[in-house]
Order: sequence, then structure tokens, then C-alpha cells
Amino acid sequence: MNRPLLEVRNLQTHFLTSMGAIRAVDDVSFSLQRGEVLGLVGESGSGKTITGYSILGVVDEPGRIVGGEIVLRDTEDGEVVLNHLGEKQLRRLRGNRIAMIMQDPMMSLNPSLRIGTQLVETVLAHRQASRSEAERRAVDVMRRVGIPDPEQRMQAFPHEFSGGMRQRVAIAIALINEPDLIIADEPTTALDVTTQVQILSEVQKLARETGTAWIWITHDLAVVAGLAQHIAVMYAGKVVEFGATEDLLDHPRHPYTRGLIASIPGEGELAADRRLHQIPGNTPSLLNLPEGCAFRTRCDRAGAQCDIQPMLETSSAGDRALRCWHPLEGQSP
Amino acid sequence: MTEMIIRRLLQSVVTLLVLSFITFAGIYLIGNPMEVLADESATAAQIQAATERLGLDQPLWVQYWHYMERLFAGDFGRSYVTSLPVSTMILQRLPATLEMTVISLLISVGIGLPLGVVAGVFPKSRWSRGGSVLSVLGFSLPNFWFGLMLLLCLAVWFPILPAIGRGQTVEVNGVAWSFLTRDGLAHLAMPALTLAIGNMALMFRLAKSGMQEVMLLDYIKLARIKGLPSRRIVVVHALRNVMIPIITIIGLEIGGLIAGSIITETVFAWPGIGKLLIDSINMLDRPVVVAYMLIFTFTFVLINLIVDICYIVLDPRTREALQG
Amino acid sequence: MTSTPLARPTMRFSERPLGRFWREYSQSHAAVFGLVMTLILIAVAFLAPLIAPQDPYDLMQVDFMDSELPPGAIGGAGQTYVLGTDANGRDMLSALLFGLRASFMVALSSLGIALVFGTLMGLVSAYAGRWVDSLIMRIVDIQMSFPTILVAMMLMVTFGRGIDKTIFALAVVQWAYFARNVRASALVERSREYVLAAQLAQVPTFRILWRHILPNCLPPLMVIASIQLASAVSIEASLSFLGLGMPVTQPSLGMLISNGFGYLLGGKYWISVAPGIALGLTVFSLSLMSDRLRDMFNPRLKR
Repeated sequence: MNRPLLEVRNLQTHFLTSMGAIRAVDDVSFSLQRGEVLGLVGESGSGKTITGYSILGVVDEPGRIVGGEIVLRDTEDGEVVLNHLGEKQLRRLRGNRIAMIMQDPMMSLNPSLRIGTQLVETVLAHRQASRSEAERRAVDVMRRVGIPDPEQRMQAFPHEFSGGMRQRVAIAIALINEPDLIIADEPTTALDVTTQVQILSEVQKLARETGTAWIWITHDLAVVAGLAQHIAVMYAGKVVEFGATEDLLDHPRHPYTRGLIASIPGEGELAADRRLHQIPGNTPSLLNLPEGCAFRTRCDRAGAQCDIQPMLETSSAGDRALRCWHPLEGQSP
Repeated sequence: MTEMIIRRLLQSVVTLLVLSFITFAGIYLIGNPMEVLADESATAAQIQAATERLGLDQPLWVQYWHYMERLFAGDFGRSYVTSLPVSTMILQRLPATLEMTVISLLISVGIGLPLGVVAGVFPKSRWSRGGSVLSVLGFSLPNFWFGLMLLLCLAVWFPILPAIGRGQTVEVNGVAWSFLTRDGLAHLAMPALTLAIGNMALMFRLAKSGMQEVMLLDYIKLARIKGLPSRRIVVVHALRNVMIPIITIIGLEIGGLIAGSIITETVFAWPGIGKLLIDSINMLDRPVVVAYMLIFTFTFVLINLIVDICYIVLDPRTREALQG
Repeated sequence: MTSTPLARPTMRFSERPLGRFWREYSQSHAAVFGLVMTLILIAVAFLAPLIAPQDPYDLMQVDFMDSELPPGAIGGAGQTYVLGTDANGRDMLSALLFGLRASFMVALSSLGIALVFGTLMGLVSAYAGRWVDSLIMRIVDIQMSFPTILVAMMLMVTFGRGIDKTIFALAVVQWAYFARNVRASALVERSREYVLAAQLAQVPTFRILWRHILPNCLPPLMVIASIQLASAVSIEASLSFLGLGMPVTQPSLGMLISNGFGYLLGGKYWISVAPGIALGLTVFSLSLMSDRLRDMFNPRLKR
């Protein structure tokens, strides 16, 4: 097996506020091969987006990466630790080798700049290209993401686009410099269902074609089930389970993962036959997390041992990881 | 869009008419101008005759009508005090006010805006916080107060700038300007700065709060994620969106500057139209006061109109909405 | 993970105990300074007749021989003039305290009138709707688009100087801010379910306004009032400086500055600088306070 493109090791990103440190990301680890899609799944508030921002080094004050390493490798096996880089070197990587698609396409494009400008500047920020070259590239990438009539649409402002079209523009911006890694932060949740399906299938195609690796952030396990090769499940700032998609879906070992799977409406089943499973309780506030396992207050398997924080244990084969004292039955890690 | 502009135009005309009537009624008819005009030895019959000659015995709306009739012929009447045509007096004083106002606008925008932008990008820094506190001072204190303090510091304690008057002027096409000579500029410095401080504070605050809010928006985050240089993020992505409201306010503040010039000119004995207004008020020279007020109202309504039209025409969103 | 991990729980202001309010307010040291200074200045202003060394407008107490003495000078009767004397031999400290009193009195009275009238008009506007609403709002728009100082000046020119007229002019230029904000808050509250429920229960309109709508307009009113107090002091000072405001017999800070202005260039700076600094301190303190209140009630800055 090749060495992974991206390795996140024990990442900790905390927000140091007057009310105390908010541990938005607390001990997150996963790795990702070139050309692979990784699903990062969790409820809102579980630290998914901040993990994405941490990789790019764009966490806003008072947030700060306080621990761990984010390692990015290039093809020649040279590696950089992203969170040790200075702003200047990081800037050269952002939008160039690592891109990101933000959640809300209505908010992430600048309302007063033409679409063309917003694409072209991304090229010009990273390579010595002429304006016309950059424009050609922009038209090309817009066509690839399925925007009709790209030459004309370059001149348009974001408000002239529908939500789905804007998200295609955002995807085009991410793709334009042919990055090694794209972090997609729930890029389809703000869209209606038909557009969602359309964009998802196009992204699937792009992922196959380009050899770009994707981190697909979502709260919806169903979305990544057909998209990702690996899935990392996050809860309250921590990765609680990691594994190959099919293995993880068929044999969930963390009670939280099982809860997530059970809450997906099953295919071909009559709605009346099967009641959707609900995980009891709410996501805890990151400000006053309980000691020990954060899920224990909602967990039916919780015991006395759960007052102590379990560690993320990686299986001997290295393809499965779990953070639980009382895992569900399955092959032992 | 045309319909919107026409509606806005009509609105301005109506506003102008209503305001001119109120101004006229308020200033022209309260009190008896004869007390100023007639000297103390005048008989009742003489006063009666003069009143009739000036039409002061007519009903209010008739007087207003006559005044407006003459106004449209370019006749603002004559001063009670100097007997000169009011239009001549105002035109003579206008350049002084104009140069002071324009220079003060340049100072306030040229200094306040960039400082505000920097403060808005780094809102947590010590300089930014200090600037905000200082801007409260500049924003809320009356401008004669700054005039007083500047005079005290730069003319009394460290006499480096001349205190009053316009200094040496140069005539260009028969109009005298101070800003073209070194001495004139020295005289202009304090009044223009005094007038600028309030606006400078306003620009600082607007730019700061605008930038502070914009910098938190998603599209700025995306600009960072795209790896754009921070200069481009601030100038092209953030500032552009902050500038639209600021330009509107700069336009609207011109009225405030003219009003502020009245006080500043009084402090520095700067012979502009603001000083003329105060002198005329003190001498109960009503035709000058009415003329000033009407001109001011007209200018002000006009500026508001232009700003609104610019807004309609320039903003891509309203433009699109109107076309579509 | 949502993008606002730090969003604080939002609560209506009226539900917050005073302690919370103070804790948030006092996060700004400048604002605390403003509040303390304001309280001191108001106390000093209203105690002026008790603490001033002399009554500056009682001719019996003023010695013309002591005119234009610098700060710290000893007068003919052996008294020390801490801030010097003016052209008529008045003790500047006493004149300043009485001037401060006059300034505060005028500003607070005009603020009270503007607050009551503006609130009333805002409620009427929001509740009557239709042409009453558009007429009132049109007047508000036009008036707010004009520089306040100019409107106030013209009113003073028209009606002549005097305490009552100054208060009137200041109230006229201020009411519009209250009216507009009360109308806006009232319109929001009006469409809330509890108001609709009260209407269905046939609670009288007046009672709905008084018990339900008005209390919810209070936070913005408080912010506007604090801003307007600073602005009233400042405008009154400008008017009096121009000789259009307070009468000669009751000089405010602005007029004291104006009185001393003629002596400034002659080097006798204290006559106008002492009231100048008092004015500066007053307006600055009030503004620091209002600035903090405005920030606290601006939800967009809450992050």
C-alpha cells in the first residue's frame, strides 16, 4: 500500500474563549489515499467543519490548532506538516493542492464580483498564467461541472445563478487548479433533492476521472455510503469509529455508528413496517462535556468504565479503528 | 428603472416645495422686519408705506408666491443691511466655503477610511481598540470644540499656524482661492481639519464596522481557502462590498459638512457663506438668511436625489431586479 | 459542525438580571469610565449651588477687580480662583459648575420630551398604519435627512433664544429617532403570537401597547436615549456658542466657551478652555456609555 496522501494524527483544535476552551476538534485521526473519497460523518457540532478548516489552516480566532499533526505528501514522497507551516507557505497550498467547497453556496460567492473573476483569480493566485489562459481554464472547468453556456456565464454575478448552479461554481473553483485533495463540506445539503442527486453523481464521476482525493463532510451517512471508500464517524469533536465503508456499514462496532445507520430509511422497506430508529437525547454542548466518553449519556451500553475516556484503538490490520469500552459484536479489532 | 427615477424626482420636487414654504414662513414672517429696516425716527406713515412697498402686508402665500416668482428669475432680493443683491453676496463668499469643505472631505476620507479598514481587519488589536475610543471622541464632540482646541494648541501655545482669515489668495477667472498659495493653505489647515474630524471619525467607524462584519462572511473565508493573497482579499473582496454604503454616506455627509462649515467659519472668522449666515442672523438680515436656507435645502435635496439615483443605477442587484 | 460553535444562548434583554447586564457592560473599561464620569458630572452639576465657591450670577459676590485672573490666582478678598476668572471677575469654577448644570438641565428636559413624544408617535404610526403611518414616517425621513444642527439653528432663529426655546428646538430635532425605532420594534412585536392572542382575547389596545409592546421597545429606546443625550448636550453647546441658544442670564458650557473665545488669542485661554474641557469630558463620557450600549444590543457583533 502506498503511503497516504493525507494523514491527520491526534488533531486538536480548541477555541479559547472567556468561557473556557471549547474543544471543537479533540483527538481526530484518519488517513486518506490518493484518489480516495473519505466520508467524515457526524451530527452538526461534532467538529467536522473545523477539522476541514484546520487542514487548510483557516480556523478563525479564537480557534487554534493546539495539538497533533496534519501531514500532506506529494508524489515524490516528500511530506509537509501543514500545521507547522507559516501563513505564506500555507497560502500557496490552499486552493492549489488542497481546495474546499463550503456548505452554503448562497453565501460563499462574493456578491459583487463576476463569476469569471472569482474563478480566474484562483488560477492567477497560484500560477504564472496570462489572463486569457486563466479564462480558458475557467470556461473549461465550468463546462466540466455542467454549467451550460460557460463563456456567457463568466460575465454573470452570483445572484443571477440558482442555488444548484452556484454550488457548481463553487465546485468549479475547487477543481480549477487540479488539487490533490478537495474537502467538501456538506456541499449538497442546502440544495433541493433533485439537484442534490445530480451534483452527487457528477462529483462521483469527477472523483473517478481526476484522481483527486476527497474528504466528504456530511451528517448523512446515506450520502457517503455510495460515495466513499472509507468513513470516519465523529462525535463531540472526536473520531469514534473509522473503517472501510462496507465493513463499517455492515458491522458497526460503536453504538453511535449503529444509531446513525439505524436512522437511515431502509431501501425497499415499507415505511409502516419499520420505525426509524432515533438516538435518544441531544448532542452535548462542547462547553461542558461530561468526563469520559461523551456519548455515554445517550448510550444503552454505557457502564461504569465509560466515565474514563476510551482511546482510539486501531486494529492490527490498520483498516479499522474504534473508540469504545463496550463495542458491539463483530470481528475483533 | 426610469419609472423609479421619475418617482424619486417628483418626490424631491414636492419635498423641496414644502420645505421652501416652511422655511419662508418660518423665517420671513415671524417678527417684523421693519424693526431692522426703518430707523428710529421713521413715522408710522413712513413705515406703513415701506411695508406696502415691500409687500409685507400681503397674506403669507402671496408673499411666498412673489418671492418664488422672483427666485425663478434669479433674484434673491436685496440685503436689508448692505442693500446689495443677496445673490452677489453669496456668490462672493461661496468659493471660501467650497475650498474648505472640499479639502476637509479629502482629509476625512483620505485618513479616516484607510485607518478604519485596517482597524476592521484587525479588530482585536490595541490600535484598533484605541482608534475606536478616539473615534467616539471625534464623532460626538461638536466641531467648534476641536476648533477651540486646535486654536489653543497650534495658534496660542505653539503658534505655528495663523488663527483667522483666509490669508493670501490668488484670483482665477475672477474668483479668489486660498488653496493655491502657501499662506492661504496655512490659513486653510486648521479650519479644514476642524471640519474634517467629525467626518473622519464617522468614516473610521463605518469602514471598521463594515470590514469587521464582512471579514466574518463565508465568501471571505472562501477567498482565504482559495489561497488569495491577503491584500486581494481585503481590497477586492471585502472593501468592495463595504464601499457601497460608505459612498452613499459620503454623499449624504456633504450636507452635514456644509452645516458644520457654519460653525467652523465662525470659529476661524473664515469669510464663507456660513459666516455670512451667522452675521446675517445677528443683524436680522432676513433676505440673506432665507436665501441661504433655500439654497441649502435645494443643494441638500439634490444631493440626496443624486445619491439615490446612483444607488439605483450602480447596485448590480437592484439593477438586475429592475430589469428582470 | 456548524460554523457558529460560539453562539451564545440568545435571551431577551428583559429576562436578563441586572448582574448579567453589568458583567457584559463592564467588559469595556472605557465604558465603565464613561459611566462613572457621567455620574460624577451629573452629581456635580446638580449640586452646583451647594458646592460652587460663589454664585457667579449674583453681582454682589462677583468682584470686577478680579477680572481675567489666571488659574490659581488669589482674589482681592483672599479667595483662590482655582480655574481663574473671566472678563467680569467671575470665578470660572463656579461659572463652569453652573454652566454644566444648565447644559444637563436643557439636555435632559429636551430628551424627556423627545422620548415621550417620539415614542407616542412611533406607536401611533405602527398601530394606525396607512396614511397616518406614511405621513409620520415621511416627516421623520425628511427631518432625519437634514443635519440636526441646521434644523435646530433655524428653529432658534425663528423663535429667538431662551431656555424653553432651546429645549423645544432640541426636542424637535430628536423625536424622530425615537419615533422611527419605536415604530420598528412595535411592528415586530405586533406581529408576534402573544400580541395576536391578546387581541383575540379582546384585551384593550392601550393595554396591549402598554403591557406588551412598550416593554419590548425599551432596549432600543435605551440605546437611542443614551446616544441622544450626548448629542443634545453637544448641539446645545453649538447653538449657544453661535449665540443662538441659551439666554445671557443662564449661560451653558457652550456659551461660556463663546464668552471666553475673544480672549483666547490674547493668551487668556483659561476662560474658554476650562468650560471646553468640561464639555469635552461630558460628551465623551456620555458617548462612551452609549457606544457600549449600542454594541451590546447589536446582535450582528455578537460572535
